[in-house]
Amino acid sequence: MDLHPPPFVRREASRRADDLLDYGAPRSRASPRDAGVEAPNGQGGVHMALIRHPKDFWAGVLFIAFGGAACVIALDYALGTAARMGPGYFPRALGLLLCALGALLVLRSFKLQGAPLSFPTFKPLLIVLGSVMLFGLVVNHAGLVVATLLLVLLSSTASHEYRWRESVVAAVALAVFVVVAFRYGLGLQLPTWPPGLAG
Amino acid sequence: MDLFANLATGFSVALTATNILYAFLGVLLGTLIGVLPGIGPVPTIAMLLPITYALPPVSALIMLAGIYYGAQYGGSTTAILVNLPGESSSVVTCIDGYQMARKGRAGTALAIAAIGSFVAGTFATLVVAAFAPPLAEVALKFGPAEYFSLMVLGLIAAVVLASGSLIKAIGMIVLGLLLGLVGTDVNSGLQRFSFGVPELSDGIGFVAIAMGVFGFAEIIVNLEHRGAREVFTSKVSGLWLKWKDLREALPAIGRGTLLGSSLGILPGGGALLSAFASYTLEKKIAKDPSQFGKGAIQGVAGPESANNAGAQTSFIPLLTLGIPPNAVMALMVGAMTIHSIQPGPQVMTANPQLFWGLIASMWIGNLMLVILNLPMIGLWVKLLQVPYRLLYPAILLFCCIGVYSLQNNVWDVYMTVLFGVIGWLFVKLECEPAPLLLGFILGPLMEENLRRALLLSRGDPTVFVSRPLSASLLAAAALLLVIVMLPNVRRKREEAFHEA
Repeated sequence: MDLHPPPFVRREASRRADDLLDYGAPRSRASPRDAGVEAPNGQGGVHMALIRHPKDFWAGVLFIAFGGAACVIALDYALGTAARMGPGYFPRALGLLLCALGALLVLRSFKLQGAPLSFPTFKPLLIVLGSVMLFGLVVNHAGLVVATLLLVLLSSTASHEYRWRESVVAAVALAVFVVVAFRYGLGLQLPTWPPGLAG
Repeated sequence: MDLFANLATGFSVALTATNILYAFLGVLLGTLIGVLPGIGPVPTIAMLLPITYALPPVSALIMLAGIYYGAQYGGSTTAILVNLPGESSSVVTCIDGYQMARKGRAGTALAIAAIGSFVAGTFATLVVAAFAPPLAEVALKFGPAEYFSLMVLGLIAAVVLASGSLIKAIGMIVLGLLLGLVGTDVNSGLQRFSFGVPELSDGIGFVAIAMGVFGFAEIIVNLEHRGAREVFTSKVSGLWLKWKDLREALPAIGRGTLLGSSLGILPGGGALLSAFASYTLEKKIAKDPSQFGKGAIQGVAGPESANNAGAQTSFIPLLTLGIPPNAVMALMVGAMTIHSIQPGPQVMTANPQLFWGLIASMWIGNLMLVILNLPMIGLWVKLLQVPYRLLYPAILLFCCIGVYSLQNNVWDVYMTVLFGVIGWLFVKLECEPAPLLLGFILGPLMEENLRRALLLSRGDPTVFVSRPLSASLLAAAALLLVIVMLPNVRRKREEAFHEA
């Protein structure tokens, strides 16, 4: 069906390419080895044996959640008729369709075999998004320079090759570049310095 | 000879000093981000959108277009020298390009990639110039029913031609359509899905979604893997081609160009698909297929020509029908609306300067790219040595500033974080995000045309099948779906996306 294990022997080139950049297709990580791990052999517990394709299952759940929420919220909007559609018509139709697709995925996940979800580490997720969040929180109050330094210094720690001296240099260089290029070069309306320091 | 008169108009616009400068900036930036793995044209264009407010519309579009096809050139450099796709459409170039480099033929591979891209770019420019006007003529006959059916066809085609699971891709489209509905309903003035948040009354920012789902999510996933990059920087020499190489590569360039030009026009097509298709074709018709994967020059020439041709002809559906066939074109819609240009068949008649200027600039841009990429190859090789640990904080920073400056508001920064989480989840669940973006752009348009079509027909849904144009578009969509579901084709499709 949809997720055949890919050809076992794959070229080094494309495999490395997949790992780093191309996450679209269900190829690199759905290897036969993974499928073997997943195979219900009596030890796996009830739900492990039931959900044989976790990625499809959770994608289905996600779709049902979004579709269901859209339908429920759209109940407040007038439905209208086909000839005179109200604002609720199209969202409800889409919501139902999304739920149906989600249900199909969930059902399919009981039948198809697929690789388990892999979460090697949550560190990059938390650090990268946390530092962007921080940028948003401080930029209006402390200015572009402080926000840039914080963003670069904090987000660099997400790499497993993190070197603190290097990231300090990078942060300062980027702060200078950003102020010159964006603030003065392109004239973006951003506070540059913390209010106390601004002349 | 309207074509030549039109092209003359185009060149007179594209050859002004300002526009040459912006075309140059675009292709330079495109090459840069093409060379750098981990950042593609989607986040870059998204980042630059706010900056283009200040430019004249023609210059803005010329620059943004340059980024897209420039990235196709730059991507091949990284693919050949580092065995990493600098740009997703050069994934296939890695296979034979890197092998050529290992055999000391890096120069040949780079040269053939650049020449192939240039030939393809030139041809595709002509295709755009020749096919856009008649298509726009047809599009002028379109009513709301036809527009709706065309969008259905476009969305289905995007799904069919995308890699991965069909159901998930359709789900992503529907989710995108729903996200597109957030904000004020044009007909009733009602706020939908805005949860009382004033910032949402204009809808979710397209840039926030694009950057969160493509930019941030990609950085996070890259950081999760401990892949060390090994740069293949031993002397790049021999940029001049031998006659034998050229003779082997030329037919592949021709085939790649034709294939890319036609696949680019299809909704859902574009650079990536063209490259895959071309590699499969070259391998199939090769006298000695065993050479593929070991440094076959056709395996570089074909896909590299195809991806550039596809990148350029994917402007056709945008410029003639107002329908973006892929995520980059969806961003171009954004760029055009910033300058209050409604993409569609009327662009050509209402804005001939812009239309033909953009087309002419593509050829000029391609010429610049050959010069940028061959003699200056050493510069790009140096750039490849910048480690990712220094690169991604800079990318994050530029994204943040770009998003902030959209409306001088931190709201969009937070939205980007939210979509970063969602995008990361999508990666984990193997849901491809490109269809979502397409759905997001088309959502409001589709609802509007559906409403109008049914209003005109007094609620009679057969209007979509009783009008011949609309019916044939829907039939084409249905046919596409049926074809992909045929077991035989399905297997082939997977093969093409898996091993190509």
